[in-house]
Amino acid sequence: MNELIPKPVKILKVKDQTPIEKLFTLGVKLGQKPGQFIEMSIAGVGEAPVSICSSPTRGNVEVCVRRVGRVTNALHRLGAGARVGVRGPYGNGFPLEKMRGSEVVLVAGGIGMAPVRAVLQYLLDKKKEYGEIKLLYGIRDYSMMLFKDEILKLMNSKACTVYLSYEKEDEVCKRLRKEYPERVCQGVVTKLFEMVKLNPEAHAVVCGPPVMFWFVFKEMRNRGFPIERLYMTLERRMKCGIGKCKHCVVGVGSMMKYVCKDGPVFSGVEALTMRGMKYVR
Amino acid sequence: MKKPRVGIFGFTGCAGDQLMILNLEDELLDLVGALDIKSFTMASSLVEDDEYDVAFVEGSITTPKQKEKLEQIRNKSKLLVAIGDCAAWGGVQASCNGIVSVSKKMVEVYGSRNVWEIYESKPLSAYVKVDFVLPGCPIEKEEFLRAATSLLHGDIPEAVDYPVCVECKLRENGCVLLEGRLCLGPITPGGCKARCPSLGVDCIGCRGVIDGESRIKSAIEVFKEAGFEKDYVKKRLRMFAANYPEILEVK
Amino acid sequence: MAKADLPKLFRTLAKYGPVVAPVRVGENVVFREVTSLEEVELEYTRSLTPPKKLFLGPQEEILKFDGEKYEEVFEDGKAVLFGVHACDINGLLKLDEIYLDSPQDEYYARRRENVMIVGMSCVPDERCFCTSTGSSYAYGGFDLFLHDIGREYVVRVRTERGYEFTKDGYFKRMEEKDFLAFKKAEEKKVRSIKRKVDLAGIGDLIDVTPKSLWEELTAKCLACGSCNLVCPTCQCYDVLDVLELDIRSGSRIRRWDSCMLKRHALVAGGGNFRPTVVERTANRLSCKVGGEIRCVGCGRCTVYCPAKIDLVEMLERIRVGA
Repeated sequence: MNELIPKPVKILKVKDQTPIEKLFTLGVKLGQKPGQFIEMSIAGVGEAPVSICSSPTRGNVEVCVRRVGRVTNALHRLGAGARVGVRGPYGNGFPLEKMRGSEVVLVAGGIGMAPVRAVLQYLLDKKKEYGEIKLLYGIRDYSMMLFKDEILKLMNSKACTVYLSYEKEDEVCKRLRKEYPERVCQGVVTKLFEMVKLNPEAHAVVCGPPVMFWFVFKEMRNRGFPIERLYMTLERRMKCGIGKCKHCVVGVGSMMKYVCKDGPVFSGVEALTMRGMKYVR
Repeated sequence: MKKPRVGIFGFTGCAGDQLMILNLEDELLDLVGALDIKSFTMASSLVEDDEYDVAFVEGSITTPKQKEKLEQIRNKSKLLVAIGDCAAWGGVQASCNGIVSVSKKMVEVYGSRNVWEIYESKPLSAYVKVDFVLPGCPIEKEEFLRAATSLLHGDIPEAVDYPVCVECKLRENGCVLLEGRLCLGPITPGGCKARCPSLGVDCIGCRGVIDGESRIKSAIEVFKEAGFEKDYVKKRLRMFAANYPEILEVK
Repeated sequence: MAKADLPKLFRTLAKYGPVVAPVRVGENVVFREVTSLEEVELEYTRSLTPPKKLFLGPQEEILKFDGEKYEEVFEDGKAVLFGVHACDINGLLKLDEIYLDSPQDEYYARRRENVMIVGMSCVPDERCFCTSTGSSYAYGGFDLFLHDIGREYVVRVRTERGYEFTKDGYFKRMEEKDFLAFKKAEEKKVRSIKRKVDLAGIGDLIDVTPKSLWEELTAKCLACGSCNLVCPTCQCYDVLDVLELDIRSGSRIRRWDSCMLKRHALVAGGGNFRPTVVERTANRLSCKVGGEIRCVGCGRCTVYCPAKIDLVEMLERIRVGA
């Protein structure tokens, strides 16, 4: 089978998330592992890697796409019924088997909520197999919150404990802070660790922009959380998705890895030992 | 689908880029069929004072009147595409910028400094927002066509941001610079399929400089080691890209 | 086999498919399709671009699309790649590790299947350092390999496909003296490769090299990508879609890419993970010699660098740390 030929897939539903992000429900089930990504094609424009934001336990694949480049801009012009090309799923995904039986702390910043949502859905659907679930989500303001309905509903539910931080206060954020003063605060996502009791037996999943990752990493390590139980995702411009084109290579010296094949999920130890990470800013 | 309204305009330059568009003999009819060409200074006398989805603008800006007209075009256009070296970089007419003053040029050519008001030749981007640049002297027909199809599809085209050397190697050309000629290929964006080096001629840099790469100092060092005179190197660098800050600074 | 019989072998090989061989073009040698042995440059040092181009094209169409319907494009064809040196064969074996690794690249894999490889002993120069990278001798990765031992060739057969071409009468069994001549010729070649570089642990040295040294080493670098584009083991490719005027049909093309170009580590939104030549060079060297040795010591990146940056000198400076 030729891995580089995309399959045409119908877009079933498009839902606005933020002014720059949309959620696409695709007419395909891929049996993906949370944390994996697909290559999405718009013929004539190109191909872009997009992380899957839905759990395989929920059926059709969903992707939450920010409008940043040529392909994603073109994708944002498409509505339900249009077709796109899909290849994948690719990448390793989160080691959910390893986390079985333990508490899971999910930390998301900005668009990092997309892969985290896939993990969250999976954990909620297999609640019996896992311990307590905590979600720490950092947003700029309410308008930039992804999956608004779902998050608001979860804040009110016992299935998982949601902690929320926001940088700019608006009406909704203010109301939420008043309603849940012990779980909502103004500031960056690391501020939430003042409200959360970290269990060193837990596993952690961290997704967000590189800067955010390093701050969270430092914060959690300082609070005595074992970094080998922490998992993060890296994003690069994976062109092939199968470890050939080498656009996604990370690390320097003797520690080089492909984000598409060895990742996109890396453990805290891997992240630390990839010395080339010093170039990530 | 409604056809995109297109305007093609020219300022200071030789109109060679507009000519290249007309030279698209095989595709011209398809192109004209796909676009609603509202204004094409060179091809027709019709100038409809209209709004444009895309304005292709050739030539550099050298007078206050041109600046005003350019601003009008910008205001009336959703997208503005600079075509050719003059519009992209200021052209050959900018090669003495920062060395010979405008008034001195006026005196040299017209005997008086007050014939009319002119500016130092500047690219369009010095005055208005440019959405996309098609460089070259003249532009490449195929590149124009590819950009036009991208725009038709609704996308900003993808700019060539890698040097001529890449296309030289893909074509298995030997290195003109290593063979002893001052080739600007390493700092010039490709897209021309290494037109000149493929004929054994050195690249003259008609597509300007790879923006943001900052390899000018290195290039000057390499040219010096290859035995080229400082002044000659400076002239060559200035020919098509004198307005590029790192080149403007070269003493 | 006697050298005088080479035209016979060439003619039988040509029955398998078009022959692509080293040809002199101006000051350079390039691999081109040939129709007669006379066109072939039998004794050469290195070709401008490596023979990997037959398996991973410099620029090739991988699919056609019409709307969101995608169709594979693949030109099937047998060919003979004639006159390949040991370093380049080892380069292909290194590419195999990438492109045949699961999921394999179909285009590469099928061409690797279809193209027969005939190796040829080389004429090293002062820029070759293949003995330091363990690639001066090809143990596999070819069908036939011709070793020049003077008036004759010693022919090594590595595949059944290659064996089929050695059934004609002009192939003789090797005798003791032939083995000795072969050994002598190989030893002479190895001795003639004077350039050496110590690669042990270089990856960690690359990692701890201070920025000031990197800046000095890359001061002349033009970020032109030539080093990558002539490299027999560079695997990177870029992909672009070409749309026809009907704005629904077109093709997807892939093209050799270089990690020295600014676009290589660019991500959507404009972020660049390797913004300057310092990071890019550190990445390139890590990729070549940082972990497993992916350099075959052919010297191309040094020979064809417009800025005359010498890879071996650079690695020596990194080892010294100043």
